[in-house]
Amino acid sequence: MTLDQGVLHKKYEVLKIDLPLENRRYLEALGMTVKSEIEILNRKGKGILMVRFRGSSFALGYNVTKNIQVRELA
Amino acid sequence: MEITIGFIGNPNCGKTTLFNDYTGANLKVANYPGVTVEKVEGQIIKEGTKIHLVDLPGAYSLTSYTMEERVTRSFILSDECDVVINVVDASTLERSLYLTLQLLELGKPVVMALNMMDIVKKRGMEIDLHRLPEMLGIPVIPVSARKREGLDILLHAAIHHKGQNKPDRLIHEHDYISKHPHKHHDEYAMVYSDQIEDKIDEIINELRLKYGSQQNERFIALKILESDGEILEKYPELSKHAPLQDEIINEKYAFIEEIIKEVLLYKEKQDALTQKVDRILTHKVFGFLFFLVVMALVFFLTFSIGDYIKSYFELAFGLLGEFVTHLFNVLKVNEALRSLVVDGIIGGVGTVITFLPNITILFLALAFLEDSGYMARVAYIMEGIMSKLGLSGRAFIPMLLGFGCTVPAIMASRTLENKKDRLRVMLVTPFMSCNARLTIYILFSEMFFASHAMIVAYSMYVIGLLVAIIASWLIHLFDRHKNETYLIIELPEYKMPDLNTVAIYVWDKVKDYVEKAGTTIFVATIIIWLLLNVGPNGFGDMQNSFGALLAQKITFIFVPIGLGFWQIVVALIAGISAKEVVVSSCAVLFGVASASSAQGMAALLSSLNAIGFGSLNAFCLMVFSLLYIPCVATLVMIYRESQSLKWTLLEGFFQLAVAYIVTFLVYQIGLLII
Repeated sequence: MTLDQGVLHKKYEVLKIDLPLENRRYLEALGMTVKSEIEILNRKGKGILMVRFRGSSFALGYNVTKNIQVRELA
Repeated sequence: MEITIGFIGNPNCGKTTLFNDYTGANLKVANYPGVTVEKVEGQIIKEGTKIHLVDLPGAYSLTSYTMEERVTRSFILSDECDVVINVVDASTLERSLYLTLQLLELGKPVVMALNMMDIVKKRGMEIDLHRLPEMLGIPVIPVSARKREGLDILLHAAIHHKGQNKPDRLIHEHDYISKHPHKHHDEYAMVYSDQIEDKIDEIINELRLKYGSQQNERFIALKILESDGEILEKYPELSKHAPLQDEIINEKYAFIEEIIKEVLLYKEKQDALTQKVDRILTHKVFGFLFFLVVMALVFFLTFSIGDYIKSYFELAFGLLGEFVTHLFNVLKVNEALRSLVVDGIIGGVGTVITFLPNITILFLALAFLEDSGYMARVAYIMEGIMSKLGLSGRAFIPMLLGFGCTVPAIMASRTLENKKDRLRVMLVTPFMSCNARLTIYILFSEMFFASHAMIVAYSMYVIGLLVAIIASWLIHLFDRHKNETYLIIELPEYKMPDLNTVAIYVWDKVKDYVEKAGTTIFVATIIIWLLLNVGPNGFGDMQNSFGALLAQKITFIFVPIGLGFWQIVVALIAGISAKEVVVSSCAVLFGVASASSAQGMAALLSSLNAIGFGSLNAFCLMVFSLLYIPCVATLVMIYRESQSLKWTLLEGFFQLAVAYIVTFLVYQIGLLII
C-alpha cells in the first residue's frame, strides 16, 4: 500500500520511496529512510497528511504520500 | 585573541534565538559573495576574546543540493570559521543528529548546544548528558536560548575548543567485530561498515596519487561516494567510483538509532498539547476558517490600535510643519524653499512615517504567528487549494509574507525546490497586498468610505489574494509542461513566541521601512516635488509643471479605468519608486501638509471632489495600486532571484496588464451599479 491510503493514528514502516532524487534525499535528510517508522497524525483530502517520524512532525502533500510505499505495523 | 564561531542547526531549533541572545539587535546583514543567501553576523567581546559570530542558514543536511547548504558547508570548511556551534533541539534529537554527524565529518571543532531541554523535561523524557558526548566525541552543553541559560558555558567551551580538530575521547560499545585494517573507532564518531571504510581508503589513496595530499581527505572520499556534485567537479578523476549514498545514509541513521537507544530515555512520550491543538487548527474545515479569522484579526489590530498611535505621529509632523513655516517666515526664506521643505520633505516623508504604527503592528502579528509555529501549519491547510493551482502548499508562505512586504516574500520563494514553482510564485506574490499599499488604502478608504473604511481596505487583501489565485490557476491551466509539486515541510511544536526574537524581527523590518522612507521615498518625493513645481515657466505653477504636462499627455489611457486625472496619473508613476509615494505625491499635488491628519484628509477630499474624483474612482485607484507594477525594490529582488532581465520585464508588463483589466472591469461594472 501507499502512504496516502494510510489510516489516522496508525503506524507504518517505509518500504520504498518513489520520488525524484532531490525530494528523496531531502526526506532522507529529515529521517525518512527505508525501514523507518511513520505515524499518521492528521489527514485531509485525497492524502495530504500530517505525519510523525524520528520524533518530528511534517506535512506531506498528496504527490509525496502517493509515492511512498509502506506496510502497516502491528 | 580572536575567534570566529559559526552557528548551525535545523530550521526551528532555536538557533536564531540563541544567536540573538549573544548579539542582541546589533547585527550586520549582508549576502555571501556571489549568491543571495543572507549572511547574519555579530560581534562580542568575552573573557578578553573578540568573538565574531555568524548565523548560518538553517539546514537539515550538508549535501550540495541547495544553495544554503553549499554556502554553509563552504563557510565551515573555510579558514574563516574556527569553531562550529551545532544548535540542536533536544526534543527532536533523533532527527537533529543527522546534521551533527555530517558536521563532524567536516573536520572542524564542533560544540553541541542542546537547546530546549525544558521541553524534554516537560514531556517526561530524559537525555543522558554523559553518554552523548562520549558517543559523539564533542562537548554537549545544555542551554535554554529562551531563558538565556547556559550561554556563558557554551561560549567558554567554543573558545576552549578552537584548534582542536580531533574529537574528544570516544567510547563506543558496538556489537560487531570489524575486519577493517584501521582502528577508526578511536578517531571518528561515525565509523561505517567495512565495505564503506575500505572504499574510503581506496579513494583516499587515489586522491593522494592524482591530486596530492589534501585537507580532510576522509570528507572528500565520503562525498565522492555520495556523488556530491561540487566535490566531483573539483576531483573529476575520482568520478568512476560507484555511489554508495543510500548505504551511507542508512548507516548514519543506524548509528543515530544506536545513540538514541543509549541516551534518550522515555522516547515514546510526545507532545500531547501540540497534537491536541493541531486537531483543531489543522482541521479540514475549522482550520481554514481559523486561518481567515487570524488574518482578519491581524488587520483589525493594524487598523484600530495602529490608527490610535498614528494620530500622535500626525500631531508631531503637523507641529513640525507649522514650526518650520513660522521659522522660514521669520527668516524671510523664499517661498520655493519653504514649499520644498514643508510640502515636499515634511509633507511627503512625514506622511509615510506616520504610518509606522500600522506597519509595526502588522509585523508584530506576523512575527508572533511565525514564532508560535502556526505559520508552518498554513502550508498544510492550504495544500489542497494550492495543489489545484499547480503550486505546493509551501508556496503559500512566500505569498502570505507578501502581505507584509513583497521584497522578503520574493526572497522566501527560494525555499521552493522547483525553479518553475519559484518563478510562478514570484509572478503572483506581488498581487498580495504589502504594507506599503496599506498607506493608500488607509487614506482613500477613510476619506471616501468613512464608517466602512476597514471593510473596503480588507477587501483589497481579498482581491489581491483572488487575483493571485486566478492568475496561478490560469498559468497552470495553460502550462503544457506541468510539473508535480511536492509538499514536505516540518511542523514545529507550538510554543509561546520568544519576545526577544519577535522584537528583533520587528525592529529589523521597521528599520528597513524607515530607511526606505528616508532614502528611496525621500529622493522620490524631491523628484516629484521638482516635477510638480517646476515647469517651462519656472517654479510655482503646478498646472504647467513638467509632471502635469507629461501626465496630461497619457491621462486618456486611464479614463476607461476611472483614473483619468493627471494628478492621479502622476502619483501612480511616482508610486513605482515605492507604493507609499502614491500617498505622499497626492499630498504634494494637492498642497496638503499632512494627508493622514483629519484636516489634511478633509482638504484632500475637497480637492479630489472638486476635480470629480468620487468614491468609485477611489476604489479603482486602490485596486490599480494593488495590482500594477511592483515597486523598484521588488523588481530588483525579482531580477536577483530569477537572474533574468527578460523575466523581470515580463513580470512588470504582466502586472500592468492585469491591473488595467481588473480595474477596467471594476470601474465599468461600478458605473452600471451606481
